[in-house]
Amino acid sequence: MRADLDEEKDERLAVLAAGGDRSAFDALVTRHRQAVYRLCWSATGSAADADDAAQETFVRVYRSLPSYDPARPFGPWLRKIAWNCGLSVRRDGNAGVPRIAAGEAPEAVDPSPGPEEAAAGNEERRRVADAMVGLPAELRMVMMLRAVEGLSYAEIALAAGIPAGTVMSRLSRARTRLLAVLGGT
Amino acid sequence: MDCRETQALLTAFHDGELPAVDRARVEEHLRVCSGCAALLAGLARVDLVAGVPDPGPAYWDRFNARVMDRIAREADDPGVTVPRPRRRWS
Repeated sequence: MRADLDEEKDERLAVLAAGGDRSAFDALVTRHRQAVYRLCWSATGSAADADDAAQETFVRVYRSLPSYDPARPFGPWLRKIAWNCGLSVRRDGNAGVPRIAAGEAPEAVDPSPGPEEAAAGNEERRRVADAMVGLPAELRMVMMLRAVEGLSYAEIALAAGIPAGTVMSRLSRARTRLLAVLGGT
Repeated sequence: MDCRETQALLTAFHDGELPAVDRARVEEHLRVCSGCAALLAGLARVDLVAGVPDPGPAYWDRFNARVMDRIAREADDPGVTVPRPRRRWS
């Protein structure tokens, strides 16, 4: 990635990319690919489908850049495309795409203080990851946007196209189900 | 404020999304109710472990190139849908 693009805002990168600057598009992909992947995972509940949807998201973004209005924030626009791609991949029935269960997917490195605590933490993560897959997509989405991406209720409402009150009720339902898996209720 | 009312607001409290007045009332209840305080701790625990398994650095190393390859293939033949991979990525 070109160093001079590091400090540019998303909206400026999008304008550059729409003008044919491949480095600017590459910078946008690098900056947002992990968040897009996580959102696609929350829409599909599977690693293979998340991969397909994340790739398709950036293809659609690339194609849509000429009509993107830089006066609108880039993040919500991107998240809406990613969520729609995730739902679309799920509706397509995953033809030709082998499913990978959450338990089989590679785990992130967890710098815990000791091996026993690390094992216990990883076990909790596995159980919650499996439970996340079992959540309805609309609950998984708000959970991901809040707990992982740290978005506010207003930002989640914008991304999901639902009222802020619904964000709260869905979060409450999602956490209650996940907490039950951890033995907290 | 009782437990039922507190628990209805606990998610928004945990997320820092409650108005100051409601926040103060929830805090007051939490000081005297160990059950609701434990529930609040549980919400934090769920968030802590609710991440998505990361596919790993090898996946991210190839990600951008795969996007660009997909775009190039669709540009070459926009009428053709790019087939999905048949092998599991690693």
